Amino acid sequence: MTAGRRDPVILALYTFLGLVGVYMLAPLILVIIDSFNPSTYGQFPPPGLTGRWYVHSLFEVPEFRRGLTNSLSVAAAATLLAVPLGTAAAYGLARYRFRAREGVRALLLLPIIIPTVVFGASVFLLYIRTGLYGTLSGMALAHVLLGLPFIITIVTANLHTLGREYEEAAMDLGANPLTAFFKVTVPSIRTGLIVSALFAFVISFDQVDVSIFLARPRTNTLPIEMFIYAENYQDPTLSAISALMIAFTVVLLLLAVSLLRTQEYRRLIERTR
Amino acid sequence: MGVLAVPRPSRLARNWGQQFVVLGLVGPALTFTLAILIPALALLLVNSAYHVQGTRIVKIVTFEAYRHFFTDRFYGGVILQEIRLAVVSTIICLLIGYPTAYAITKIRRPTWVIAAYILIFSPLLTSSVVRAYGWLIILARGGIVNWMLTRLHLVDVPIRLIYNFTGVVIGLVHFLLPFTVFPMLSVLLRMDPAVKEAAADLGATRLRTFLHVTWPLSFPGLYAAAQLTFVLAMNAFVTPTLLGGGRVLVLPVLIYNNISDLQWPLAAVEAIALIGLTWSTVFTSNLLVSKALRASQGAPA
Repeated sequence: MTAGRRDPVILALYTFLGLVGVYMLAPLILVIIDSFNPSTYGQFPPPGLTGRWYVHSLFEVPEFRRGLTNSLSVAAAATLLAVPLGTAAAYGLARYRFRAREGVRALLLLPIIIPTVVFGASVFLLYIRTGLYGTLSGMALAHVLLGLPFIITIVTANLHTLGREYEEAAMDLGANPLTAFFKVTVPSIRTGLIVSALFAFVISFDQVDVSIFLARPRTNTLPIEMFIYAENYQDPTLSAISALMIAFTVVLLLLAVSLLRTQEYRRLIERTR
Repeated sequence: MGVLAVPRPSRLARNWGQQFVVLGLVGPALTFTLAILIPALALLLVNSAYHVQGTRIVKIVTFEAYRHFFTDRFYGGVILQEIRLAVVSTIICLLIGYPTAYAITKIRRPTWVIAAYILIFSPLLTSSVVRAYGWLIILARGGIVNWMLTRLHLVDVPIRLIYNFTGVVIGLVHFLLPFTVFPMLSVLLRMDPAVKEAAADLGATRLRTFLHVTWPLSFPGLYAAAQLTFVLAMNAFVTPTLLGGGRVLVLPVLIYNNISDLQWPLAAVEAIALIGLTWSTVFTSNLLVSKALRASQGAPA
């Protein structure tokens, strides 16, 4: 019954999986290779090695640096706003039963049911009337809406797994609901909160479909600047920027994993005690 | 007792104090969402009815954009192209995604499971622009694919792989595959291993077990994956724009172009058409699936 190491079916499956892995990583790896390519047309194999595209993209194209600053501030603002809003809503949905609960849940998830481009176009029509068009705060607000459904889903799932017993025990011991929430619930669902914060940040940071409708040239985010650059030029400058973005994502991922790791270890230690 | 405690029904927000608490918790997020979404969608509807004179939007209701959209054959072609793109990408994603998900469930060592997850899901963390641009490099005239094809003497001159339907499909499948694998994987992992063992104990070969147990039980995951992939394919914007190079026109691309060209009523009509297309696909497929599931429950396996 047990599938051995030399089982041809399993071997074929693993080979297939490996090929899919190559396919999934190919564009990311080729972007990194191309970022060192001296040929302007991304000729393969690269005729040599150069770092000038990094210098060019970082120091000679002001749009990219401005875009990066915009992206980081928008993503940070959207995350800081969306995580508390989403966590509170998730707590209300998970811990209380009220008549309109399913309706409220559906309404809160609405922003991700609407096609992103349609969402972007509609919010554009609103922003152009209200003066929010082309502002970073307007962009951050729209990103909050895109992040909320994910945060609510993740945190609600975490709260359901946690159960209410611990909070109730704390309250039975005299803690008020707020203390119980911050001293018991928040530390217990920290994994979910970290993951949802990461989601909110990445969703905002990578956003193009919605952001492109809301930005003026001065408030373009980095992915929009890259999108515009890719439409107009083709030289490894974009590869260099992309490689830096990939590196940034890897750092973010490692950071999250290490945070989660210490969490898991701590839990394991607590359990074995 | 703690672990075994039966989950009690959550607190019913019966009295005024509790309702106030619920309002305080859910209210801000809900207000926030609706305060932007409702006026935005309302303005979409309003703008769809307006009239355009040259590049100026005249605020009189003419429904001219609707007439233009539904009578000009160009838009019919765009919609057909969009559906063709979504169908082709979804089928390829399912063909690749199912064995991928199945293979992941067969991995024993946790390190390799994590490696597989990272391989399949990490591209999600990079911007769609980066991914589409990566494919532009790979599939370009002087790119690695054409280099390999010419080195292997499979082609004499570099073939055209970007700025056409093929290029968009290649990029789109890459963009969508994680969303295809995820629902399949969760269904396959939830499957009770005892069921398969029972089939084996009763003398079924592995092929028979797969065909009569695993495969039918993974249908819900397949449906969910197909639906999610299809909807996301219909809504894709960055991949068709960059890899299509203006030659593969789909509704999201037209919406963006028309907003830029100050043809807001037309963009609004296209947006409404896109919502209609995706939501009706979801609705009818849900209906068909629930019907099929009900039918299959009555029939012997």
